[in-house]
Amino acid sequence: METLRLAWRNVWRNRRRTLITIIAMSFSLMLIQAFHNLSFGVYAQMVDSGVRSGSGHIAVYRGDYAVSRDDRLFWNLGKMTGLEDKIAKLEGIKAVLPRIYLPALAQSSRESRGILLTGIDPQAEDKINPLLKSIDAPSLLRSLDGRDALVGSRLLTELKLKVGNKFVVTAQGPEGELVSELLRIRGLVQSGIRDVDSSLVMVGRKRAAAMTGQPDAIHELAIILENPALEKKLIPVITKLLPPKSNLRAVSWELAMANLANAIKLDHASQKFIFFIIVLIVTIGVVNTLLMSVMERIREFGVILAVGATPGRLRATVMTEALLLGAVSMLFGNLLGTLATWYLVEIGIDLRDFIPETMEFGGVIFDPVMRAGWDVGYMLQMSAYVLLLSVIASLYPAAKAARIAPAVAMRHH
Amino acid sequence: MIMLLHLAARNLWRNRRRTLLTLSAMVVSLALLTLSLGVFSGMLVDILSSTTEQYHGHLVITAEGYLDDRDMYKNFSADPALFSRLQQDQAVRGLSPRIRGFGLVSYQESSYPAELLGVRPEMEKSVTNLQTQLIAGVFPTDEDTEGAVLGSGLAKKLGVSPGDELVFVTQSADGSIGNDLLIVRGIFRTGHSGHDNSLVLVPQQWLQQVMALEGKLHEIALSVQYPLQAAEDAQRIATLLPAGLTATDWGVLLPEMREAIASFDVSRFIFVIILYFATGLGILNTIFMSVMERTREFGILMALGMRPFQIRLTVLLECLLLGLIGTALGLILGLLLSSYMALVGIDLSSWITPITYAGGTIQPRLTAIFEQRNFIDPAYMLLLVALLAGLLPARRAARLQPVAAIRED
Repeated sequence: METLRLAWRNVWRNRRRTLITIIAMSFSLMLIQAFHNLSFGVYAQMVDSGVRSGSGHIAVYRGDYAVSRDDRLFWNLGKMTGLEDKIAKLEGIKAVLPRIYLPALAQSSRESRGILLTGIDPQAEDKINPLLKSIDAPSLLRSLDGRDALVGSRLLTELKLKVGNKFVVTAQGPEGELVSELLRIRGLVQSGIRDVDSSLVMVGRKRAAAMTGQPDAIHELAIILENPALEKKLIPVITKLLPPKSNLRAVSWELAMANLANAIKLDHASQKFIFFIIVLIVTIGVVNTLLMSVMERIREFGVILAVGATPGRLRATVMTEALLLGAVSMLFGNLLGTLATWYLVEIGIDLRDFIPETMEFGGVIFDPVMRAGWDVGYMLQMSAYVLLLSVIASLYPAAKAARIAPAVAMRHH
Repeated sequence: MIMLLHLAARNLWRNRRRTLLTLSAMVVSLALLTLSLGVFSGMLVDILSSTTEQYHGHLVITAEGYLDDRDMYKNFSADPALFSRLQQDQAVRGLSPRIRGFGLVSYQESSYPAELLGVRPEMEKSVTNLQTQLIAGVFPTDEDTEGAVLGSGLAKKLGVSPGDELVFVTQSADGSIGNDLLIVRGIFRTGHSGHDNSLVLVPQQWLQQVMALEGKLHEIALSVQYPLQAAEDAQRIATLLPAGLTATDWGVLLPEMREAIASFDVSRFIFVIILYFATGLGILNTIFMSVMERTREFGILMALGMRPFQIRLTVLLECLLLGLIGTALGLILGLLLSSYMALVGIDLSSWITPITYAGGTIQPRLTAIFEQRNFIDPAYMLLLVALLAGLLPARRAARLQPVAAIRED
């Protein structure tokens, strides 16, 4: 207690220096917390948007479809008696979306283009898939097996077609022969992702599946969760529901959408590197401050030692001073970090002021208003780190103080 | 002035440990800053070249409107005179005339949609580098009349390897259905899933025949000396073109890529500011300390006749010296680190796979490139920060009252 009081007094003996150090530490803590929370929120937004138009938080595939995208790996949903319902009834499941993906050739009277024919369940998909959100109800698909199709906007231009026109898609049938279907364009999809806009044709899943010879064939059961954190818990539960000998697997979105997962990983890593540099520079600053305060008190330390204090006591005092600096900075840093995060959560950063078009990252559209999320665990971890850092930074100055020889020190100016 | 400089240098050296610590903060921030900017630039150049040098070219010459809908009727005649005029342009490194067709390729029981580019192999090599990305077989020669190279994803789905025979079916310009045989010569893998899953390079004459477009082209792809200046090149090259043809640079072709590069400039600026704020506070602290402990000394100097502005100048000179030394060392360390990254780099392929971003591909590797701006901007700003950090302490030193200052201990 005595040490603490002494240290507190020492810290405030040079108010300006202490304040500057505290500002540097707490400001850095705020930056790191706010930045991390912002990307935490944005990643969550991207994952949410990505899984809704992509594989779901959890996807059920046959074999290694997640990696190979081999379109022969479809499976018959009709034979899996009630699998869809059984999964949908689990706790924490928001939607179960069956889909089929067939590479095909779309032909108008003038042009042909390679496309990805995507068969969906319109009723389930309309409420979930962000690609369909901006489309008015009359332009959406009406049934599982109708001839209506939604077409990517650029594809529409390239094929020289308009909404209401008919066109033909040709894909490979069950025996390797070519199968053609006539489709009618009901609406267009404008996502802002070049790949999607120039190759998407969306139809009811039974219409697409008919081309494989099995009207209930699907490639993917995309499972959307209420809360992404449930993923780890639910994968084994869903795996148990799958028929044992079916070669079906439940995989996480990180595997099914490796592109998005990798993009986030890379972004996160570069951010960590930047944090590392900031922390390094702040650490040098703290060492500097503490060392200065030790050096200018050499004479005083000499006197204290001469009247009977042990070197250990001196060391403890210097370290306690550092700890106090760290603690005060931590409090301020957290206060500022919380305020900044609160602002970023409530108001966010509106990117529409800076860029005219939609934002794409890792093949996924994200909301132009970037909003932070609360990652309290990380904030606490960083706070603890600030304390730890200040103690580490004090090791050398403390050792320096403890090594002082009283007689020499008292002669020091 | 020389005396003041001398004084400043000596003052810095009086407390060596403190000066060294402050210097180390400056050196670390500048060096790591230039390193990370170099790595980010390397990544952007990678992304840009992934799409321009694997597919589009830096500039593309087409009939007006072709890029909007890739309508096969928006074609133009191959004109050798135009080629040589283009080749004489100062910036043009290579050009490749191309014709494009969409259709189905089949092998035995499998058929998949594909995009065919009819090229002259030797000329294509001067624009794209697909020949360096082969994972099997060889790149066809100009004499090859039916040899094709295709993406790895497509080859895997079709189940073909070099030597196999493919059938291509498409709509021809005369309204008939065109089809013909191709022999697989090579298979490339770029990491761009779109290209790997659908692109096939075929002999130009072969595709012109299949599509009933003899002697016609859809585009001329160009590679230029400085990709980042392609927009200016496009303007100049446009004047060489006959009526009806336009030159488009990658910035217009791939607006999302241009935005990605522009937004990088913004984040570079923010990054530099944040980092230097922390460094600046450290310098401020040091200079303040050294001014405070010399209060008495400044008092004596003033009593002996030194003007306040000279005191102020001395303190600022100290900062400037500190800044100059820090900048020099930081630049040296930054150059060393960047050269290491440029020469050796870090391979991330065990950790991530290639990522599509802004229409290009980020390769799973980290390398740095040298861009003047990545060194010059941070260096100037560090000097500025050092001077700014000195302003407050210098003001304080200049405002001292000699009598009060001398009495202080």
